[in-house]
Amino acid sequence: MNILVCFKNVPDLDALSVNDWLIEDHFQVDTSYVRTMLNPYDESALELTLKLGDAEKNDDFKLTALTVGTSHLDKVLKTLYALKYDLGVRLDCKSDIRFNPCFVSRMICNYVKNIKNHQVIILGSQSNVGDNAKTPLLVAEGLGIPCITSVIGIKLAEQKDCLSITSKIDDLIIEQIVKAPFVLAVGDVPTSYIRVPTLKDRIQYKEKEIKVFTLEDLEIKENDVEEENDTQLIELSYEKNGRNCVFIQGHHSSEKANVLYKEYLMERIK
Amino acid sequence: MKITREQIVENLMNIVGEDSVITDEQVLKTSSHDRFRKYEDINGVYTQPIPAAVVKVKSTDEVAQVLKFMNENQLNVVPRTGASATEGGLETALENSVVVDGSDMNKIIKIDVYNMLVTAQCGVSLEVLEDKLREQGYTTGHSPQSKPLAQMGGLVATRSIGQFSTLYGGIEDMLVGVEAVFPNGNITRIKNVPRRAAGPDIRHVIIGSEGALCFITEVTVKIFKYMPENNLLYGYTLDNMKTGFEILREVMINGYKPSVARLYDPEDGDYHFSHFAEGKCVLIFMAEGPKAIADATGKAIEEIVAKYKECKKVDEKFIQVWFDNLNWDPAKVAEERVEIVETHNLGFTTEVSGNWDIINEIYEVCIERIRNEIPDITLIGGHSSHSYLNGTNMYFVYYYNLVNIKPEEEIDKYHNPIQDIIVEETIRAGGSMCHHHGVGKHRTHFIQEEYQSSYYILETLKKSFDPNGIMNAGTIIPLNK
Amino acid sequence: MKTVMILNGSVNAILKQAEELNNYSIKNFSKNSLIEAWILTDQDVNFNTISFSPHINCIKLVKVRTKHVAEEYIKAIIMLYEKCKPEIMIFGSEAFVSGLAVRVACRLKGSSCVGVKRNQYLEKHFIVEKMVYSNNLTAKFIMKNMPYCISIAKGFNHMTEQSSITDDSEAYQKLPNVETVTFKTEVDTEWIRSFTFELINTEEGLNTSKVVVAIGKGIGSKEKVVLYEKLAALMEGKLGASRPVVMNAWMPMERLIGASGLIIAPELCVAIGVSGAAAFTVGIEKSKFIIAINKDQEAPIFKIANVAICADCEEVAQALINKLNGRI
Repeated sequence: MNILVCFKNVPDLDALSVNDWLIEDHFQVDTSYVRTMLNPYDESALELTLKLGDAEKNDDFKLTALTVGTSHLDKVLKTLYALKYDLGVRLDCKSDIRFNPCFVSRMICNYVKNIKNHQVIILGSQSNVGDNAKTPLLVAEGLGIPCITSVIGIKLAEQKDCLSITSKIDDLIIEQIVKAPFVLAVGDVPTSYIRVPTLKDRIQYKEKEIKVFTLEDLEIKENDVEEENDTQLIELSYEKNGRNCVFIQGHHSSEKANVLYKEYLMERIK
Repeated sequence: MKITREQIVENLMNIVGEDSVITDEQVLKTSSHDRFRKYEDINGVYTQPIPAAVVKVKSTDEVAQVLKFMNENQLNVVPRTGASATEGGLETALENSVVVDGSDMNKIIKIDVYNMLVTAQCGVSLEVLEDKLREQGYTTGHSPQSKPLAQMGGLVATRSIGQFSTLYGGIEDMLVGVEAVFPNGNITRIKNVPRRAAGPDIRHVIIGSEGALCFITEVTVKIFKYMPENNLLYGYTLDNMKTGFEILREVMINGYKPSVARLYDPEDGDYHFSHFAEGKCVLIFMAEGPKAIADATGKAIEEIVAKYKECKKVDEKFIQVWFDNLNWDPAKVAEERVEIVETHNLGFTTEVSGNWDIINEIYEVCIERIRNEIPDITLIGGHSSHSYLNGTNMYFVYYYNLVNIKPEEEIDKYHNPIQDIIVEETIRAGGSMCHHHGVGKHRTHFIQEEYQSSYYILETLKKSFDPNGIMNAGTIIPLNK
Repeated sequence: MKTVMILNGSVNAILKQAEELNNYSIKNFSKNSLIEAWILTDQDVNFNTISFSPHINCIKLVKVRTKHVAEEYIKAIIMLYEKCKPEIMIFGSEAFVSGLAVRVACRLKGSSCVGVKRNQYLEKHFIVEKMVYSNNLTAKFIMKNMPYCISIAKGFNHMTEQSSITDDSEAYQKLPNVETVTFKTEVDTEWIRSFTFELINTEEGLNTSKVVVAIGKGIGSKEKVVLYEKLAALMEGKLGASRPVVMNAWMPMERLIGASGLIIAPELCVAIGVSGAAAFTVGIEKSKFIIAINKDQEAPIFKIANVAICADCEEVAQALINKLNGRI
């Protein structure tokens, strides 16, 4: 089985302080000062897939990790090599694709269609900058294959080319055995951290080559970036939303309690 | 005849009252160790003798009575306040130990801005105290990573140090006076004076005693004017730790006192700095204090660093963001627990010190040996974070994957062998095996080598102040097995 | 503009969906707007239990064969679309239905947006507003192509500041006209070899409870715990505690909230007698609304609270218990 996991590296937005949220020209927010990390949903997707690999003894089982962006990401792909991903792919792109999942999914689709086919494509549901929550769905549409959302578990199945997928819809948990090809959008997996490679493995895979493909390789024109998008960003703003504590006044405790009950508590409980 | 567990509890209840003696099974288990055994703790495995009780003391007199009772019955006492220890100092090594917890003694007794002193009971949280002082324009100058958890008694008992130590010093430079209770119930107070030459400085019997000589009930520390508006931050990338040590040395020996002077190797810095310093060492300085002094210090640092072509200045903003996220706050502790459970990847630190002529050798040899000798290592690196006229410290940081072991086997398979390498090599080179976490219970097998002929003084202290060996047995000085 | 809202009737959460979509439409559409509701379901729907906002003038009910095959739902929606050609299609916040919004838009060459807080029609543009950058920034987008398929942001079912809902309660009484539309699906489900469903056990624990009372050492003693247990029970909530409380053995360890215990995010957290050390606040700061009660005016807990009472904890708790008892 040939599995493609698409991931994004994102800034650790929690490390930004209130004063760091400055909106610059072209709706840019400078997050270069904070460290980057794997997008949490993607991290789950990468680890779920590694666990699948732990269980599978078949040599035809191949894992590819793919990301979109500049050469800064090669370091992350090398870490994934050290964790035994078979192939690391970077779709080279310098454009502002934060709010353009249409374009990102087109790149992924073209990679799968033109360069290398994969039976199973796994992506995180959403990432923390654009918060678009569209890419996996659009990849499925672009390739014309089914998509399962809110995936929380992936296991091997006995049938050929099949996997056992656990997913959620509201308070319903669905477990199904499905035959590839399909797209999985990984949701809130209870365990979300990816394993850590040993120093030895990191050194061993340090020089392993990353496959890089340009827009041209993907038969996409630079101009298509905005053309492709179905929405257009027109405003980005920051509101500091800390809690502003209101102190309830009163002569004695029960008077304060009454105010609390009437004005705040009553409407919040059944 | 040896006293029973029930009798111990009963006697303690008579002294401090029923409500202040805790015998809940889970609390006792949690009180049997500290963060040195965090992996056992996460797995709910308890390998140490479970204490007979946790006693919440509320006054110095209560402490005196409890210690006296324990001493008369030759029972082990483990003093505790904020419980943020990392080196096994809070492990209850003997059966029927009693944890004496001072965290309810949490009054700030006096802030004296005229004489620049603050007096606090042992259970006052450093963060609470520091926030209170800062509101009034003062600071203790003490800022260890454990600040959100640690309390004043423990900070003095473990000889702690903070991130601004290069200017303000360690706790030993801050402590003015102190009150402590000895095992025989003797209450001793050392008065608050700016300096004296009336014999040896007996404060040093108490500072760093790690609960193995006495119970600290009250401390008085210096306060300083708080002027964060004058702070200047500098960050540089460079290729070699050796160059970094040279720069630190040059800044120090020329008489400059930055509050922060830190040097990270690429492995240790990777998590925080790789987005701007991939594969590089990182050197960080902060100058603070009155504006003219901060400016002059900052200028001198820039001049010294400029002589080293290897160093590239980085935008101050990178350093500021790192600094704002540096403290080991409770959110990180919570996250760490989850991460360990999911990834089976565990990390610890060991901190040592050495003079300028040996520190780089200690660094290089330890890293090399750990890489080669210890299995399943995922990260081994380190940083220097506290510099002095004569030398600096080295803070080794290491992570490993736990492969095929039970929770209780982790320490013997990984943690202790790594720590042993670091301590061995440091002592061999002539450095000190403990820079600021204290000895705890897991480096004691090296204590005689650490002290050599001066062990006589240490041993005599222990024998004379704690002749029955009831104070935190197994800490600093190993148990006689 | 012709608007529809789309509900998934195959799950029990249809009531929640209806509530959030009602609240969204009340906030975003004028009183006179008319909206159709499309319900896709594999089971019978009891309309008497669902309340529809006064905007809803017509309900179209489509029976589908499966509970979980998105491809079938998409086809059914597109069939309805071809009949009615709505310009705006609003989907619920749950991931399955928001996924439908994206895929339907893609097939109809329209525009989609997930997690919309607000929409407006301005100078011939349909503009939507949503949170981006992990809820730190608000973004406005022009939706370029019709139909505009949006899924709404989470949390509209907990909208409390709106009073118009209760004002118009009479309008809820009338059930709009229900029209059943037949739909013959030709969706291939061959790729699904087998499936099973399981309902998530929704029994509430401390970490899932919507209301949590968290007590700290400031309550005084172990004997007082029972009072706060009563208070929590009356609010149908759970009782948790700070570290000093469990380390004093006033409450069991599994009730611990904070860095070494549970990190909770209830709708309402009432923190009583908790000083607000960081080790504790990290456990409750994700709560939607925090009420703090503490005797110490300077307690740091007040810094993270929405509303606070500075008074004796026991007196306040007792007064609240009396009030809560009185309402039954």
